Amino acid sequence: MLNVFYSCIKSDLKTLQRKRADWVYPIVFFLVFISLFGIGLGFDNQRLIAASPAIIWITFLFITLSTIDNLFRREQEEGTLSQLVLSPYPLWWLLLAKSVVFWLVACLPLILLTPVFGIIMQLSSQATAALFLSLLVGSPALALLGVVGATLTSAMPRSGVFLALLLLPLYVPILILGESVVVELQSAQSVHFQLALLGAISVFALIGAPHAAAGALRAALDD
Amino acid sequence: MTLAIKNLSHTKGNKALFRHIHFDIKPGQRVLVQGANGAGKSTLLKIVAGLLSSDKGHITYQGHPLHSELAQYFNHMSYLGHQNSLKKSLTPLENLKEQLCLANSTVTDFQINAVLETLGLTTQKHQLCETLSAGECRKVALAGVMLKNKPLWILDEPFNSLDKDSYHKLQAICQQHLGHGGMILLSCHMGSHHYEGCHVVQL
Amino acid sequence: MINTMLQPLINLGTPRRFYQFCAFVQPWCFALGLLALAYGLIAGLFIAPADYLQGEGFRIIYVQVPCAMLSMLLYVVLAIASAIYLIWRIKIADWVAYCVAPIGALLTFCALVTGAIWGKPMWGTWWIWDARLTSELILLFLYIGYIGLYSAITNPKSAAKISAIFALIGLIDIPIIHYSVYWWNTLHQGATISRFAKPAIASSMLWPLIGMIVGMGLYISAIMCLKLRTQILSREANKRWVQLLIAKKG
Repeated sequence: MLNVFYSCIKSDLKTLQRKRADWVYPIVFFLVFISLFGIGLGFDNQRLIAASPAIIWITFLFITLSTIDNLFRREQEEGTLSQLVLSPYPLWWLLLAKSVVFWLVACLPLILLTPVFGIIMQLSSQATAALFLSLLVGSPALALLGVVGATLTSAMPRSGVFLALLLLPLYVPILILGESVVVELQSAQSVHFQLALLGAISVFALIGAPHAAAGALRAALDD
Repeated sequence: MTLAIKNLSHTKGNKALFRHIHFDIKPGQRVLVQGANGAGKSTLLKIVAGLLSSDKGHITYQGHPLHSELAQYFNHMSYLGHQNSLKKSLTPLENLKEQLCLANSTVTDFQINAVLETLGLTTQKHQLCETLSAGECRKVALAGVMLKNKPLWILDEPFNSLDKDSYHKLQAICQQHLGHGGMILLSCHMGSHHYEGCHVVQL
Repeated sequence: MINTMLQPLINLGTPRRFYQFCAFVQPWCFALGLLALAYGLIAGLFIAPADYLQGEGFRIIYVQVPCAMLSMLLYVVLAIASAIYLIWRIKIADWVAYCVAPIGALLTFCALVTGAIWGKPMWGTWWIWDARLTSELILLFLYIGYIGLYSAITNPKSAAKISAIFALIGLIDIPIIHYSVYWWNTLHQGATISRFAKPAIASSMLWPLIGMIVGMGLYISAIMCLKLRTQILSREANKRWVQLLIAKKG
């Protein structure tokens, strides 16, 4: 079982390394997008600092969503998803491998660039550290739910915005908790509770999301 | 090792695609599904491959119902659909290695190279699949089916995009597979494929 | 023994029997529902005394609270029907879910609008991001998402299964959202009383409310019977019993 897990991850990463446009441009877009907020709110530094955690988190949600959707769509157009369904290995295990790849490619670069975002959005180093931590703990849930959303909409042509409609309600708790980590740490409060809850949601998603995605993928290929 | 299809019926939307399909495939047998465009050949093949579940009817493999032991069934079956299911940004060699790993088949590099050489793909094996022609991609997909070495092959219009030379090569490969006790279920829409002693299911 | 107990329920599982069941139950639901609604409306709007704090304006709870409660109840019904469909593959469960969704969406919308209408004179704003209103809004998005998924997927079997999976994920999500928004609010505003917290309510005000909730529930059941019958007829149109029925009705 582990063999096929590593093999899937390796081959997916190799594919994405050759198709850099799919995941590098979203990172640039992230920078551009939050810069717009910086420009729009920048004259009043207080407003910017107050709104920064929310802006970064919400942009993170959107970009992650659209990147995962794009990557998934490409696989669907190539027809390689049916290979996963027809494999003797459990489908949820293979989709978990895919979720790991999506996290590595859609979420990790943005998480590593958090210091840069912190500087642009005038966050203190403490707040930036809090942002880094909250994104790190909360992003697995986002990636896993993103895969579920992509499989749910894979039977529809060109879902695009509809995927956002489906997933954003599910992302709301993660957004609230993640943002509260940054805000609370800025006012020097303890954030153990939020981080624990974020971690719990990520673990829960780790257990449940691949199975939901497997069921949705099987149902979607039913055509 | 028989595949038995009993009383298969399926509707698509409100249209009945086919009704009361019965046939068996035993080792060494080839079954051909023929029909006009839209008759439901691909759907039938997908149902037998375990990708879809039919509205009515039973499929048993080695005496067990299909959907109760899907993982076991997939260990014995290779499916080739209309699409080649190849990742365009990988080379044929990389694609095949990944497919074989997914299908739980252990194959050496030597065997992969041998099959690619048989199909005339030696020079292309390190090129990205997006640079290959449709026929070459189809041959890579067929190489995958061959290398997985499963007893049952389900092929949906396998001769699409193939030139005459490749067509004959493929026929020879199928004959060899049947000779080793394999089973083949394939579909085509033209009546030009004639096989000796082959069971034909007309839709 | 359990089999004999469950037998009537299993019998209902065929579309034909279910159609007959709905046809039987529908007029009763309509009649009782209208009676309860009449009682609720008259007693609530005219007879119950005005609230000492909110004056006559409080009467909107006779519409707002039933809408909100039933919208959440209908989502639970949607999720349970989806679960039954996924586990036991009973087609009728899928049809129930499909019919319930638009009604639930409409009720959620009404709850939000009447909530806003209530809020403006009472608390000065049309909207506030407290736990209940936010959950209600997310519930509306979930309903719209369900309906959208179902209609956008062309293959009916896939559409049913995928929407069912989504409905169940949504069910798990709603309490989490409610709790997290509530927690976030209390963190910032201290223990503010939620807008729709029910303080001790006099019985003369309570009974009309119960009447409204029951009446709306029965009325919705009647509508559901009607919708389900239509669904059964259209989806089973090529079955003989349907064609006989149509022939009989002329």
